[in-house]
Amino acid sequence: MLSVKDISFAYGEEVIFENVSFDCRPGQITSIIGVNGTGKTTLLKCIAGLQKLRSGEVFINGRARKEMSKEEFAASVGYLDQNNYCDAQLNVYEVILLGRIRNLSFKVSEEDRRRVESVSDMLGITRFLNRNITDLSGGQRQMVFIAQTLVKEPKLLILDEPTSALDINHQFKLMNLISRLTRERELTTLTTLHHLDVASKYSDSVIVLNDRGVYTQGSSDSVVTREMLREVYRVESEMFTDAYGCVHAVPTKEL
Amino acid sequence: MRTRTGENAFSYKKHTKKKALLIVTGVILCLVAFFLNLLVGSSGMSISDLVGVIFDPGHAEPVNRIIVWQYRLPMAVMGILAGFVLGLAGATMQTILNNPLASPYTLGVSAGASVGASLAIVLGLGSYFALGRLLVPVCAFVFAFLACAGIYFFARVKNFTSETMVLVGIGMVFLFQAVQTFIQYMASAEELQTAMFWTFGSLSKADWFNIPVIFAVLLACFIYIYSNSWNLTAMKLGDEKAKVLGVDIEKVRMRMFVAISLMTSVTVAFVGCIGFIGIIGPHIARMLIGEDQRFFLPFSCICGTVVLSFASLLSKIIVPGTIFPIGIITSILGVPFYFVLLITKKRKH
Repeated sequence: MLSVKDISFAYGEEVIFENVSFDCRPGQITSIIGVNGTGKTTLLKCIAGLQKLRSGEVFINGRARKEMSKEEFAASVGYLDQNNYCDAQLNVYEVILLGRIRNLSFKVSEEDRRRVESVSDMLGITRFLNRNITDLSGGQRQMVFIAQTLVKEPKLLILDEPTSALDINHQFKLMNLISRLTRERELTTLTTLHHLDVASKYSDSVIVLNDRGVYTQGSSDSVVTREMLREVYRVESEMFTDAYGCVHAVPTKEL
Repeated sequence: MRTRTGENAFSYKKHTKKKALLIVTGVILCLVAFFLNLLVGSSGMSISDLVGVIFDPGHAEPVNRIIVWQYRLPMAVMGILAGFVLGLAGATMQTILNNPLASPYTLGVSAGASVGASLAIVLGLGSYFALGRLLVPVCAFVFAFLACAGIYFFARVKNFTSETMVLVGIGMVFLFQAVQTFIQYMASAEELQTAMFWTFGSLSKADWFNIPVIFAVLLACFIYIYSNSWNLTAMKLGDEKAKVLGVDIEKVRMRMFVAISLMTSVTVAFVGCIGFIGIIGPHIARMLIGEDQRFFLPFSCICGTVVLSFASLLSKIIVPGTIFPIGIITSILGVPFYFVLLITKKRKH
């Protein structure tokens, strides 16, 4: 369970968001949507401990983050960065293995190897385990870092635009996998997404960020509305619900 | 999301065995270079004479015994140790600063040592009988450490970001070079010659006093740095990714820097400025073995040792009968390498 209580962040005098509060439940996917520059990535970084909060607190399973040691926090949180650039001379296997860093000694155990191989198989990246990370495309690197995040087996999964570099086939496969793991392993998953239809299809709860904080939050069909798109995204749109019950928005006019 | 893996199955065990084999090959090359350094010198010596002097010194020719035990063996051992230290320092520095051009030489540690040694020579500290032998390296050590301390304290203000450390290091090079020029300007011709010779870097300063000192410092620093192998490997992914994995990057960077400063300052104080080993060694290692630091660190040390030992060999045969300063050879070999590296790095980005 993740609870975010009244958190605020600023770069110097420039306030990025203020008094943001929400809860994310285990076994559910919570998505954050909003226009570019509203601080979605910064918000995730604050929750993942990569940026210092100006005020407020983040609680994981009822415990304040500042009460947790760095090791304890790192063990329970898996964070996928939006930026997957990497120029290290490491092969894919070695990069994924680093997700197990807290367990590793000089000799890599059978158990750690088994977990790396299992997660690689699950994500369909076994065929390039021996390739250098620098030789991969952006989408392939994205899959490698997702594997590194999952091999850690965290209870809280924070994903910043996990589908941004992926084609539609891989987007579909990855979101299905995240959805399955979230339910099977009772993970608390918080993700930012740009595609409203992906957010609508896979999220149990959607948070919309605007200029300084949360505009609204709730189930996807209650959040993704013509009014929200007009006020937050500044577009007029046509809305329809598909055969699977997912809400889709087609922009028709810029405001 | 399953996929067929069959024919492309990757074996991590085989992969690590290959790396271990490369390290063994490197150790063999080190031993060959070490043996050749014992064999080659201004006076000829056969292999059987050399073996006799080493394993049965009591029955060896006194001249050969002196040549091997007082000159060639300390120089060869120092070649191994200095190569090891400079390779390790370069590899660790490049990793913590995420900059392939970082080394004790390019960040002003060696320039600091040169200023210390030159100052001691110009002030005449080297002529204080028994103490004189020690005062020049002590001064070199103090100034090399001052360069490191300068980088450390400025970097601390900015939470040990790699950019600050590199920029302050470059500033240190310019500062110490200016001081060095001033000292040279004030020195007499004789002092200038002695100071210049010191800055060339030479293994001939090796003796049975400074070798154990360097060995002890190196051993302690190597164990400490090596115990952080996984943290250092994670830092190669970038600061944010390492942080997310639970690495306290500021703390690791700061502690590694202290270890690098200590072992480099001690070594440079005794052998002078031997340039580019800290860049060449790690780069050869990176190309051959990758950056899993469990293998990269020892292999960088080995590559540094092999390059320095062969450069030492070259320094003995380039002008027969004299020992050419090894720092000149490593720089002449290193500068073109440095340029190639700069050009290829630019292309990559």
